[in-house]
Amino acid sequence: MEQPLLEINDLRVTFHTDDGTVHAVNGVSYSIDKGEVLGVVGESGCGKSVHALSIMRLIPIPPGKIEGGEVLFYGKDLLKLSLDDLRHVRGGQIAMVFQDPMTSLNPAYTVGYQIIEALTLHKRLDQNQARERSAELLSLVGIPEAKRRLDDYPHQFSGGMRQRAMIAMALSCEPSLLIADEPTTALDVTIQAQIVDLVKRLQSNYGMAVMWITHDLGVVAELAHKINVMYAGYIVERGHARDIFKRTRHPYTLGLLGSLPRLDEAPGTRLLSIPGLPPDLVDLPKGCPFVARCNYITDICLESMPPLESAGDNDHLVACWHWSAIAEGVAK
Amino acid sequence: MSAESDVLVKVQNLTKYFPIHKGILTQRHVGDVKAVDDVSFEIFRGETLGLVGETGCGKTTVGRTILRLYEPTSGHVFFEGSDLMSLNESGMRSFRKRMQMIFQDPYASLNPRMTVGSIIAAPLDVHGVPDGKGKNERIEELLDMVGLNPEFVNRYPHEFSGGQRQRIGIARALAVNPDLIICDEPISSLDVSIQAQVVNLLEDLQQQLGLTYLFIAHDLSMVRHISDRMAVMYLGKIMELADRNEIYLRPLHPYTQALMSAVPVPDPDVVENRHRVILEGDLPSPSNPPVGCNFNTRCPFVKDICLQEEPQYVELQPGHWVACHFADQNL
Amino acid sequence: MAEATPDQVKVVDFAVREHRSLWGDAWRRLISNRTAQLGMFIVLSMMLSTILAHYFWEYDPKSDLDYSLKLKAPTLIPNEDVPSVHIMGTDKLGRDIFRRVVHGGWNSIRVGFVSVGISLLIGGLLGLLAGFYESVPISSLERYLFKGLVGVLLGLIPAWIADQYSMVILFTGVGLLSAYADLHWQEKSWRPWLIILLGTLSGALPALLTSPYTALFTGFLGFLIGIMLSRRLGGKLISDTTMRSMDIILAFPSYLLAIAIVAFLGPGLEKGMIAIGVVGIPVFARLVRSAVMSVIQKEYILAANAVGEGHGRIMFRHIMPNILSPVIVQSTMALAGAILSAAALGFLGLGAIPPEPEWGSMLGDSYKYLSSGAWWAVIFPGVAIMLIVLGFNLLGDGLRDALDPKLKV
Repeated sequence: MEQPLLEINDLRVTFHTDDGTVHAVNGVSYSIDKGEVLGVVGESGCGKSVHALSIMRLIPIPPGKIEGGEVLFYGKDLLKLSLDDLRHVRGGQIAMVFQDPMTSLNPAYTVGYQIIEALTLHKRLDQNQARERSAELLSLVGIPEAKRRLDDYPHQFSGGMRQRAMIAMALSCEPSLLIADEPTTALDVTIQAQIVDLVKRLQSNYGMAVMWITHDLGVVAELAHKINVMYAGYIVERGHARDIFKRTRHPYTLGLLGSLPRLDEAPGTRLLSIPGLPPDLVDLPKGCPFVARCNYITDICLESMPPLESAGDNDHLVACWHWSAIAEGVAK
Repeated sequence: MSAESDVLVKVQNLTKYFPIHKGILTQRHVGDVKAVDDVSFEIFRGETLGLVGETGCGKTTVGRTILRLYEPTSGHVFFEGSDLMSLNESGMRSFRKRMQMIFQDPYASLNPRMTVGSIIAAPLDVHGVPDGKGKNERIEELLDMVGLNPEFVNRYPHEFSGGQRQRIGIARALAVNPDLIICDEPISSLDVSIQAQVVNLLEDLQQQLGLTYLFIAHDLSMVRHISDRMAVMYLGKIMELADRNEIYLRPLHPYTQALMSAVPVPDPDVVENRHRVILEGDLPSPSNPPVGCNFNTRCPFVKDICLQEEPQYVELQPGHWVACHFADQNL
Repeated sequence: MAEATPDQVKVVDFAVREHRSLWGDAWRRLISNRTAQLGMFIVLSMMLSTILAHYFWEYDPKSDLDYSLKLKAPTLIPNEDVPSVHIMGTDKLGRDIFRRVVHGGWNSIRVGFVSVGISLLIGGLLGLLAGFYESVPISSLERYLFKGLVGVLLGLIPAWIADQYSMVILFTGVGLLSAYADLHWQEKSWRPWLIILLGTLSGALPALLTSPYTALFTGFLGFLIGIMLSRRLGGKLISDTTMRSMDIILAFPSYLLAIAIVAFLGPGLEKGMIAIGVVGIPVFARLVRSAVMSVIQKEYILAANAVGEGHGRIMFRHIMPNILSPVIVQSTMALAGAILSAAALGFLGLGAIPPEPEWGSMLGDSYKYLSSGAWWAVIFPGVAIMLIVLGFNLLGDGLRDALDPKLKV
């Protein structure tokens, strides 16, 4: 089998705060193949952003600390790389797009300047070539009159256009992995549809891998090949998109799907909300972190954390003691 | 349902412009942000009217202007037939008791220096406790009603999660037994599983207390879930208003159609089979809306007339209002 | 999935964080902060010692005089030359410096608190009103109150000049009348002219009882007041008037202004307090105004409006507690500044009247003897000033860290 592009083994991240140690990521393992689109889904505080930032050691240290694990990118462990070598990976081979397009561009410089800077940092290009290439990139992400817009400042761009500019910047060095951290959360649905469409197109043209982090199951249904569902710093379910939606095996994923109203639902449908709140990451329960909100609990759930094990075929993994019971329930 | 007596709130030609001033020494009036531009609709007693639209379409301003948190530029709002816009401050106060609001950001809408008890007590202090109960008794009853532990009276908002804080906000809105609650994006800053909890709570409370909601949000599927009828706003105007099924099955306005198709659906089967209309470009600035139809810069079916004439907002079918020159061709 | 989860309205309920108020949080951070601990120690020990000295250690500066002990170096063991203990030595009149430093602290600290109190009260109130009404429309009752108050305050000036206090009543009447005109405002109306006329008459007529020339002058003042009252009151007007007056005060170098005020009022500790207090007003007015303007944008203010809470409740229950943090920090820092200013005035002979002990005037009295080797007469009051200023500044820094929510994790 071919070596995966990115392989994460047992990644653990904590934050030390006044209130105690926050266990943000608790042993996450998975891999991304070349050209694969991975959706990472979960609610706020589930560790989805923290684990992605940890891949490139972008979390603030301290208070954050990468406690253990390895992040193999083309077989090299990024967690052991020197900062100089890591800089070449950052922005060069792995690029990131962040949630808030209003603050991720520096308002003091023109958009063109910032893309050119990103280009010249990793590639040997002179100013003219870099400018040409920047204009190309901007038009690639669908900004009209790209040449002229290079000299605009970020505040002259709308939110959707800024996010496009951020994507252009991320693409500038033709990365093999694009990490998009809630890139459409701050945008309107019609703009979100544009961005999702754009990323889908770019991904299939360039064959890069994409990690799309979001809380919105609907968005990952649009573009992800595989999905990781995260809860309280654990991956609770992982599999092909169709399996996650159609052969759901974890009660949390079930709850999330039930919480979403469907556009085509019948009148009077009631949402199946998940009761309660996510656990306190400072003081995680001994067993499964979902026990307080789960309908399927038995004694073993309180005792120990279920391992992420295969739920049948097709690389479908789930961390629940009762996935087979749930499988029967879903089948009904 | 549409009997005249059942109308709780009637909004008529409501307009709110925020003036733009420029200049260093003398402030010249150089233009207006047309946040709400000639909007009319009715809210029936006991129903939920959903108001959906993108950022900057004026949906929040509509809600706030109805409560006269903003003074309207022109237009009327009738609450059970009395014109709120003609009332003075003390006259308005007696109506405030009957119309309350739930806010978007549960972190910003609760005073961080006040305890949960005193936050909920604020409307009781102003308007008095309904049903002659004791104030503390009423507060405990309210906390219980929204699913919070009544022992939390003396705690501070920052001790709670977003969903719990939103429940505190709901308890405050319920305190004086209002008829109408304007829910201004009450769930958009909450996590998915918490959103469902809050929406279910709002639905339960509506049934128990016979409340009327104006539910403002940008999440089309959630608005459709909770509403009886829904209105779609774009750039300060209502584009389409109809029953929740009617608008889903037969959207007449191209903007509504595009909005429907842009909503992400958590189902790979639907994703594969549906036809998506992806709108080009961005929202024009509300300070400089296009001439003619507001939507003409992004409309896939734009014709000459759209660039010149503003379409009328008309009731094309009973209960189905739309503002498009070609809406009747979509019928 | 027909068997839906029975939705529990009773949620499994727990508060996310442990129970403590934001003030309690800040207090815990303050007492665990090293800088603040040091500042608090210095400030508390100095304040405690001077307060105890003031009440329990009698000292009469008027009779304290002993030329035989003139300018003696610090003595810890009594000898023939110096029969008593003077741990800090004596000054040019043979007075014990330790005693005067401890008692002088009472005056310095009193000046600090009273003058900061004056700046805080007046500046804070002006800032609160300016910031609040910039974003909130003025209600009719408030309009009568404001215009009436302006009538009273401005009316006092011509009334004082002409010595006819009945004028104040007339001007108050004009103020209330103009508020009425405001409420029924018409463009291009004769009403403002009527108010200007009434203002002129209220200034001129009662003054005729004093003398015609006075009447001429106060009539002119009344005319000016009439012009002010005839303007339509709005938040922008309140804010602009206040903030421009603050700018005028700030345009003067602060010490110069304090000296000018003392020169006008006459020397004395109380006059010094007023002078330093007035100089400090703009800082608080600006700080409070900007704090109010940022808090007033918050959704909980909108929520209070939606509930129907009145302006007074919004100002004092919602805004005040939320702007207190920067005000507390600024007050602590201002205390240091005020004590320093008081010392400067004392040094120039404009503060406490001798022989009252006061650190600044002690310095001013003794620096001449520095050349003859009497360092102790200068060093000890100087160190006292330095310590208390340092103490308040450290405490202020600690408070800023403790109260700043940005540092909260």
